[in-house]
Amino acid sequence: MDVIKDLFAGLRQALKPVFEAVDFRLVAMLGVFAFFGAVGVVIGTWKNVCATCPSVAQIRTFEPEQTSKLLAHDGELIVEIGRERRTPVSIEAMPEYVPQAVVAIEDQRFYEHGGFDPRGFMRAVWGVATGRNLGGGSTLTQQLARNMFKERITFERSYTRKLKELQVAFELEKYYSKDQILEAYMNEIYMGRGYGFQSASRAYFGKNVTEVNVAEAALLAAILNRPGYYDPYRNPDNALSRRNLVLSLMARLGYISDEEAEYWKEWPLPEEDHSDNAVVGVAPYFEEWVRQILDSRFGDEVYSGGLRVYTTLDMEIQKAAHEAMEWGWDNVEARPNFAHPKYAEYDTVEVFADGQTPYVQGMFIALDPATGAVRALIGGRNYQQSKFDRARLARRQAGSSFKPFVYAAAVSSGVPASHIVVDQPVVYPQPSGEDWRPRNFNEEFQGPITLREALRRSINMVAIKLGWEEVGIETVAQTARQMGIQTEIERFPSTTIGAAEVIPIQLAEAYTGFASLGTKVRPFPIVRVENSSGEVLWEPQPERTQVLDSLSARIMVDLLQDAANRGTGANHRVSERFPGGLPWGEVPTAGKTGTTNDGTDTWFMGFTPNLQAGVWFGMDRPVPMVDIEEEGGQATGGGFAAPVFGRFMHHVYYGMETPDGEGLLQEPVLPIPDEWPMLSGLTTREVDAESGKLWSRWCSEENKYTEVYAPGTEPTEVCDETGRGFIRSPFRIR
Amino acid sequence: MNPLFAFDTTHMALWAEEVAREEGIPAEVVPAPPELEALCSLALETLPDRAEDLKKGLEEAGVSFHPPRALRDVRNA
Repeated sequence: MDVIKDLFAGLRQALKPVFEAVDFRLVAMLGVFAFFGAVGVVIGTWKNVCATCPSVAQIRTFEPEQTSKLLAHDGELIVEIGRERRTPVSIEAMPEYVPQAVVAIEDQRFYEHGGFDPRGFMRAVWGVATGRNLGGGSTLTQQLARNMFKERITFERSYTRKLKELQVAFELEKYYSKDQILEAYMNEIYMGRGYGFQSASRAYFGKNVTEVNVAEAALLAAILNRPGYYDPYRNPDNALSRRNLVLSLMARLGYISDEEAEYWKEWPLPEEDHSDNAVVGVAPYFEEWVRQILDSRFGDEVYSGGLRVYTTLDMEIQKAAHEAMEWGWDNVEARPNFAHPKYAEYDTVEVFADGQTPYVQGMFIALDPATGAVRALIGGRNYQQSKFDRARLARRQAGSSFKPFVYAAAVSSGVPASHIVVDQPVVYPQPSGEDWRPRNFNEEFQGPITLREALRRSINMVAIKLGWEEVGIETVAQTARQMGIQTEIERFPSTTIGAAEVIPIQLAEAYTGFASLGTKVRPFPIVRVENSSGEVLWEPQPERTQVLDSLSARIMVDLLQDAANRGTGANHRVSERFPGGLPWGEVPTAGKTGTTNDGTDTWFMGFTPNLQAGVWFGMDRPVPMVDIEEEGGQATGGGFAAPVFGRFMHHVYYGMETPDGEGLLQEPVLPIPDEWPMLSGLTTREVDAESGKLWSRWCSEENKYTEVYAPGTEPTEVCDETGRGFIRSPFRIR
Repeated sequence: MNPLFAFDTTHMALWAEEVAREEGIPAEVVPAPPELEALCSLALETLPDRAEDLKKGLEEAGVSFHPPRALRDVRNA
């Protein structure tokens, strides 16, 4: 002890000059300043680093991003769209072992700490110091803070980020209960195949998170740490090991027994990936159309605001369309003279960069002719390979499916359907100086023929003469424009037989003018948009425009009924060749085929009193689909498109049969409608089909038929024998 | 029963109808009954005593068709 005393005495002696030179009051003051300065720096840093952190108000009003849901017209979910696929689920709705699994693996002292876990933090620091991975040290609350406001807090690895996290975490702990924080965390966290436990559960197991078992809950908890590394499909060993660790920890914390843990460790990992079902719905081209409309109207809210979008789509009608089109594509490719690669050869192609496919394409659109509500839409054969929507964007020549506008222009100008035009060769000079010599499909000429017959047989010469020489091309173009064709309509003779390019959905729109007896309706896909609280944000109204007087429209329907059922469109009805077609009788149909040069484009635009549908087949690069030099026949709207229309309508009105024909895969969707009403203003007359005059007993009984007239357009002359001589001498140039 | 001509395509059926008109043979386009095994949905019905004339006319015109069958025959087949 003496030695120590001596040591201190010596030390004092040695430092005496120093003590005498120092003013201890000054030292004390400096010390106080330094202390408060340090505190100020800490407080300043604390406040400054979080200058951009979310305010308490923002934290309290935070809502996680939600997907918008597209619903079919009956409320059935079609698909979710959003930057982050997320569907929030209440923690109370989940089995208790789901949140327990999360706590066990991510933050075992979650219910004890106030947002920051010193022990976890020190463990992480020790891990960094010793180079061992002992976990990140962030509590669930800190992780939630980081995820909730990632634009502000960012994921940078820095001390300031940690400080930001901490401050938001403390605020969260102050204003929310532990269960609220855990629930927000489980709905917010990125899970590899979507955000939140519900999306992940749908993607990994194909079921709701409320239905998962203990092993599945443990797997979800295992994945969230590193979704890619623990992905059960790509890295099943990693996933299994981590899942079993979660189960062991759950047992250690008493959430489950050891026996249960061992039992669930034997549970297999999921093998079937369900995520695609949620990403691509049954009507991808329709969904993209809706998304584009929503994007232009609601912007970012579409992807994060949890909108509920009630669309016009009918899932059953869409499925019927899908089946019919698949059959139609196979039917085209089955032609022995089909001249292009087949779809099956491109199975492995992920995407065609320019959107053009080398295989045959097509489009289908079905809509309610009374409202314009689009019930089905197919813009191509494979959305993943080509997102180009041929229904809404393609410009293709309409061929004979344009002719009804020529006839509508005539009929609405007072020309009766019994009007005679002579089907004979014509020559028109072209601007290029060359002559244009149009031909009929079968290269024959019929001589004098009624408009009704000419449209039924789709005779080119009559449409050309009627449109170019009698009604006038300007009237034809204006009629088509008024009815809905918005693409350029050149004033050439060939326009009357469909040389002008049209957009399929516009052609469908124009046909609604016939189907709804004079009132055109604009095709639309959205009925109503609600926000996540159920408040209606937008309810677009159908656009209707009177484009034809109802009597003229009804006459046109009558003509198109003939064209569809006794003319070039008859293949939509059942036959040996097309056994899936629409049965004869019962369902009234009307429509028109279209075929462009050498079968480059094949169309059928048709309708019943309560459903309209349009079909197109063709190559993306406009070239003929078949080689007409080879055996196998021509590509025509009647042979390719009309049977698809018939098959589709068969599904809609009679149900979709099982392959063995024993039962129904799908019940009928719509009731069989009554025939279009014969409007009271219309009159009928018995007419001679060869002269277009009133029939009399001096005329052939065979040529007598009943024609429909608008008042004042009825023929007044009576046919006689003298009129029949020249009728019997058709021109022929074969 | 009246004989029915069946065809492989709609255009052949409509062409046959034109031929019948040119020849002055009574004929009418009708739905082809499935039993007829017509590849096209339309058939051409004519009178029994004119079936041979129509057949000859179609052959001369180059129309492809299936031999005419009376509906009763079809049903018995």
